Amino acid sequence: MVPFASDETISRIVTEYSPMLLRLACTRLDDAADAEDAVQETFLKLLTARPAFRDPEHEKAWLIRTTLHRASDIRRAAEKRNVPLEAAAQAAAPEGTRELLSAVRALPEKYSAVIHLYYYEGYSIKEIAKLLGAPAPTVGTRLARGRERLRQMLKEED
Amino acid sequence: MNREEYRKAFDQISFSTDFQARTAALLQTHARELEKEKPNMHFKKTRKLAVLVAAAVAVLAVSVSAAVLWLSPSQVAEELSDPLLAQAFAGGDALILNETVQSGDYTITLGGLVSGEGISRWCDSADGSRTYAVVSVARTDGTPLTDENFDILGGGTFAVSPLVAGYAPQVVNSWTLGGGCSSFLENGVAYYALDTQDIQMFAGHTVYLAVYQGFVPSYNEFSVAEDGAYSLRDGVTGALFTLPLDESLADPEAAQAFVEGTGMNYVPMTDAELAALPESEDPAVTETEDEDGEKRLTIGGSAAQTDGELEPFTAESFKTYMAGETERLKRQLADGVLSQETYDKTVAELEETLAGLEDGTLAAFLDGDALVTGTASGGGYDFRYGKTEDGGVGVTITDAK
Repeated sequence: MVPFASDETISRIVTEYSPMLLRLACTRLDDAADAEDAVQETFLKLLTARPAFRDPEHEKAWLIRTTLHRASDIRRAAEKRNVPLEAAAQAAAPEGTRELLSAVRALPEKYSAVIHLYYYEGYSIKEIAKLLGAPAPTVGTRLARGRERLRQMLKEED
Repeated sequence: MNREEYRKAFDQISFSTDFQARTAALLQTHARELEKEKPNMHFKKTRKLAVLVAAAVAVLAVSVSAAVLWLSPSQVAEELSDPLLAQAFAGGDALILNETVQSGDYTITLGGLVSGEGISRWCDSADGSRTYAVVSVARTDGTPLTDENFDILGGGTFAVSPLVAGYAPQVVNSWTLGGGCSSFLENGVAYYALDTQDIQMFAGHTVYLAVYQGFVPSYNEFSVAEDGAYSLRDGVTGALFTLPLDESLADPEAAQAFVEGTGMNYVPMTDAELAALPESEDPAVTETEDEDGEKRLTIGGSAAQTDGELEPFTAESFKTYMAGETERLKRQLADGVLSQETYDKTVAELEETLAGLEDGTLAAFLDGDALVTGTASGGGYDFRYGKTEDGGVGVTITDAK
């Protein structure tokens, strides 16, 4: 296995995973800059902890879960400081887009992760189950409940 | 909402154009620094947690064979290849307790506690503050625990979990708190090292550390009084240590957000309330056929559409199913097919489904080998499931009205 610390490996991991992890972080964070911080810290943790991965899927699963945890931490820290969650860049987005993004961020975290991996990344329920380390029926239930909550929230905003 | 709308929304988010270049440069610099220097093993500030034995738990002076050599919490951490945690336990802020309770054939000892950020090699500041506890279990008569007579990883041996007064056992526990538990046998004693999300947010409640024979905490092992206080049920081998936390560290909003985020009913039930639950019976199931000729089944307020026969679970029938599933999972765990983590999570999900069936918030049935669950509420939802192209189970809920 190529040592993680090589420039080659670092470039590979940043290039391969940044887009997905940044969007994933935005399921919990309103501010793109906060999402960038969460993803950078995830990569730094990878460098420091140097977990041994069985295969690329294991690597991906680790990065997804770590990013979600870090994004949650940043969000909770901001809420404690009463930092306004709406960012100027967010406000500039079209109204329908803002509603959907806000609704996703308002979901319980275990629903939003499943929703995002299903709708944006196109993973199947079985694949999401492996990535998040949850049983497939559980993922199915969370997907259903997440959809229902989203539907209710978007309906209320109509 | 469809995939296209969802993706369009997220594609509107603008990130820094130089993020990847900046990040790669940062990591490369950090990597070079790591190669030059020893790891910076400074400790984050730790908080001491004081522990008292619960008044309801009998504490006896126990005489254990002099041949048993006890490991300190610091030594337990060393055995688990966590020198950071070992040093945290050896530091002045750790609380070394050695509080002991005898229960059944066993002597259960809460060795020590320490809490903080970045005090374990497996976690750092990105994980936030976490609480670590070391527990040991030995036979009271001095008989050494061995691989032959004590399956430390198997079901029926001891689980370690925080519990919080005023919240149902399935809602706040090691599993929902993202906890992990490492264990091993040494010199005839079983050692458990638990770490969980920081439980200080619950400091406005009574917080316990439960060590008991069982799996995910449930009303099978614990009774909850009207005031929310916990006790171990008669016949359950275990101990319940009360943790007097610093109430100034309580975070009621975070605690409430946590329990609500589980999506479960977090209000605990007393024994009287459990006894008053109606006897499990087959839910009302009516079958109709819509104008398209598709079968529609209504189960207790929810509706499920299927193109095949379905057998909805009652709580009782689900218990039978769950017992079989648990045995199957145990075999897979023993064979090395399943990890302990996945085993624990799957069992926890089964427990969650049972709880939902018992309080009427879930409907569940088998689709071949797949367990499918859905909400069952008076709101009237159509709950549709179907096979996905890759053989998975897809679930859709739409308004039945």
